[in-house]
Amino acid sequence: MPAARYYFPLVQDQTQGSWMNISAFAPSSATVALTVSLFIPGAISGSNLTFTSRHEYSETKVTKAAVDAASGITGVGFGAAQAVGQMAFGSTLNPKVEVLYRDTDLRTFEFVYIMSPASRQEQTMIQNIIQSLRMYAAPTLSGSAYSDPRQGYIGTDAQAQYLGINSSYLFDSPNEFVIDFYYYDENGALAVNKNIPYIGRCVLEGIEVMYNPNGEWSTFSDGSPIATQLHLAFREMRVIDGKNIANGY
Amino acid sequence: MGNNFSQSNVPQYLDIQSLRSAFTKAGDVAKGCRFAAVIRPNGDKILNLIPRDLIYMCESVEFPGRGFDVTQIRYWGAGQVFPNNTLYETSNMSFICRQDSVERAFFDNWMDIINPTTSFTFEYPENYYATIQIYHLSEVGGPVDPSTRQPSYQGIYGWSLYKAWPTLIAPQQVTWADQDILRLQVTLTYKYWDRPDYNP
Repeated sequence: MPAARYYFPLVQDQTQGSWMNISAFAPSSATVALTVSLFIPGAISGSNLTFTSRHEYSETKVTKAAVDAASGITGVGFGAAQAVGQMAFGSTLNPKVEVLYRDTDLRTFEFVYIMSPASRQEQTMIQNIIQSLRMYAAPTLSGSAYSDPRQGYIGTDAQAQYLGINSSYLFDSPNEFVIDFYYYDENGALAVNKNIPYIGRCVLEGIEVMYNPNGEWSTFSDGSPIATQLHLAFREMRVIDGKNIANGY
Repeated sequence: MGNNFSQSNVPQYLDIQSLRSAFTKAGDVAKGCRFAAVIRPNGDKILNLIPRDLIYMCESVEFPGRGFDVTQIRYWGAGQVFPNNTLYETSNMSFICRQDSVERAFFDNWMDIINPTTSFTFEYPENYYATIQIYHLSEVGGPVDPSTRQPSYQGIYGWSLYKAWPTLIAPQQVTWADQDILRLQVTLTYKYWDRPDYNP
């Protein structure tokens, strides 16, 4: 069965513009399970397209490390030497503070889309996009087990069913996501936009849907909200190193 | 006098004949009273809503403008701006009102389709969009139509405003102290315009 593909707005595929593809994969799988094509959020949608690399450093006292190493008693050698220096010479040891690389944060990406449907078809597409992304971002009970959210406490009567053959102690991990940016090139062909960095495989660690982004609750005649705000927060699964950056990440 | 100013690039030999020629070769001056505006329905819900003779009641309209939203950048010295988005203003139209209240009723009905006062739920925009075509007409008519014996109108320029719908019907003030024709001011918004018949 081909993977589901949803896009918004509906005209975007047939005309022009830039958008991003969000493809879902089962963990460690190379098979696309779902593709959602959305416009790249602009200023009106209140979202910034930001790529941030943050490397952590820690302050290290080089003299302390050297004295500690020489004394063989970490933490005592430096203090003792400092005390001796103060008593003998009226001075104190220069700790020679430097920063040393410690860690690199995983990159995070947040996108905010405000979608206002112009037709019933577009509203259906919005519902499909939101339900699919929520579903693929969530863990799933293994096997045929099902947990009814309306049941609350399990209770003694349901213990047998909950702990029985149809139950599961395990969650299948949520899906992973690959994000690509596309544009129409001079020949009118779709092409990956290499003018902005690639994004590595991600998890969708936050998804927030607001049905009154303008602060007012209004609906179409079928009860659908007139606007929907979708907030996606991705986290890359691997640290992007210098070689990755040289390759366009 | 003027010794400190280089004279090399100052336009020379400006004369009245050239001024007249400049007007003549471009069709003489354009007049703002020669225009026509047509509202054409796109959405299903307004297909039969628009009065066919509304074109005659459109007393004034604005030829559409266009602007840019800009990003201001400063490297050194004076700042400069770069475009980042196209901006379109709303379109204001004025209609002469007839005693049958056709014009007022049409726009009231259009508004009621967008957001009916019986439920205050909204209609999907695809069902009430319209295209507004605005034409600038020549001072003199074109060839005479043999069947009607009327000269055809010659459009000299024109715009189509897409995905248009009314955002405001202005209140109409009436008073016993006034014998003027009643007029209706309407503000319409649209996504963008182009010039479908323009051949540069």
